[in-house]
Amino acid sequence: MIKKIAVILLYFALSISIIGCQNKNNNINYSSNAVIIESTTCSVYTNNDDAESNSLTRKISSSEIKKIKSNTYYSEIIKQLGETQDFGNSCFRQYIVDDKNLFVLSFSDIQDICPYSGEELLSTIKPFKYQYDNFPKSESDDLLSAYGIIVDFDKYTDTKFISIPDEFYNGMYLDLQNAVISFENGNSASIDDLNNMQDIIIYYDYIQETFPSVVHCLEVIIIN
Amino acid sequence: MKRCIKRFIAGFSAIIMSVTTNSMVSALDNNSNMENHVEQFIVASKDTNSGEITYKNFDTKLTTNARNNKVNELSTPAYQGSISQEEEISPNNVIGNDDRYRITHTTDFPYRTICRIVTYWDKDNDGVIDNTMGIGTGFLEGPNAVVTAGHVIYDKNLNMWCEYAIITPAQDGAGSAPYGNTRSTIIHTSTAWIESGSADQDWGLIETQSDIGNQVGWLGKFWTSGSLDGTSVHVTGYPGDKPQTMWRGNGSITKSESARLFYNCDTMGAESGAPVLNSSNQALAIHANGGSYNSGTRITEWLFNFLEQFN
Repeated sequence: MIKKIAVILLYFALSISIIGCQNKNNNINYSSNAVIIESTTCSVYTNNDDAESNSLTRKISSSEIKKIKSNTYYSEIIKQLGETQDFGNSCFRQYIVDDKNLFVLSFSDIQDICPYSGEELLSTIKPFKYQYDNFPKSESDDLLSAYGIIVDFDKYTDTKFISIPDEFYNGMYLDLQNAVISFENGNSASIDDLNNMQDIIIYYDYIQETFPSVVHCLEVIIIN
Repeated sequence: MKRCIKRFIAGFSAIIMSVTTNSMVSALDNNSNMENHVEQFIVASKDTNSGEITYKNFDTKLTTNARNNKVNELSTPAYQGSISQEEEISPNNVIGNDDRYRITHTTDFPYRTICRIVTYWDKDNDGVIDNTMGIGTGFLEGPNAVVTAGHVIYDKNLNMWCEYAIITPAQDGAGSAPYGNTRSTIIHTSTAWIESGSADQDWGLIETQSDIGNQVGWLGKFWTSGSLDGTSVHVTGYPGDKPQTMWRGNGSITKSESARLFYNCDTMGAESGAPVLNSSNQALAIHANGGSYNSGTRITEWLFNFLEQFN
């Protein structure tokens, strides 16, 4: 009896798998010239060579943000402020303002119009609590730590992305599957307590070295 | 909903396959001498043209025979391809305290066998390739086989394969492709990586459309049952902080585990999949992780034999 059920379930699964694959094949446009990104929803770039060549997070002054007029296309704002590092996976760009603040320009479509003025956008900048190497460290040799600001999350997986004010103003995705999350006062927290523009300290054992990198967090402390 | 169903089916199929394999392993255990017991592995493969995913037990006859003959070392030499060898490269671009230096003569051997990999995804399952790319490194292992890390082609957090990959050997700057680029046809990894994210099984293999390896050559590989501590190695790849350029970090093995090697070569994001090479241009491991010590998936006896199929 159990064998029969197993066979039926396997047949069912395989059938649906095949149907699923066929449906997907009908939808996906596999380009023969695959270096061309097929959707430009979140990018002003037309190919990955251009995108990846912007490897550094751009530093700007607050006066440059102030000049932005309301109802400007996000793509125009990025041109105005200058191209900055494109982390590829999300619809945002980050800038370092006056050497000490983080400005994140978020959008759902780069061809949307931004309703905010420069003054309003400037009010969203956030100062880095720590910069470079000046943050609490792990006492364990096997555990590394980093400070960052949550700037975005992957809407499909709820994966958080943090901006790290190191030499390169880099960014990494957080793998939180094995992470214990707490507030600075020691109270327990959860993934739901992690929000954009929060300061966090992460403790981790390794980083998967793709680009963007994925950091395997063992502990996350929300510090504000 | 569609995505949930797909994941359920994928998971269910994998479970069925695992159960089947476990039964086979049990049967083998009962019938064979424990000394000669060879662990069974299931290789998951995705056809990046059709999207079809298959699972297959790897034939371990080679490993079994080696055990019977008490072989404790396996080695294949590098192949330099049909291109004539040019002059050797000397390190000449050391930057500050960073121990890496740039490889500018990327068309020299063995560097021309090291590839930049761009992966494309459909994370929202809407049938359209996302405006997303993952970047990694890989190295040629045969005429049309590129070895990389498992997480370059299968995202454990997303439980998702990439849709396809584009491979460029010997890239040296934006738009550079001295030997052109080629696209994936079938990508492989271990079900152990897919199911548990085991760092010991963080390897991937990309079969490519063109047999570019015949032209540029491929790396050798080396496995030993003993320790590799102290062995001089280098990790050469395409770090994300030096976009689209090839960089090399020298160092030595600091710790040898049965399925992982640790070393003190400098690496950065996007170098996952880079070869950890000895002085004979043989890969000892596949770079995967950074941390207190950088580490890579060791080319084990089993993985050696698996890769040998593509050589």
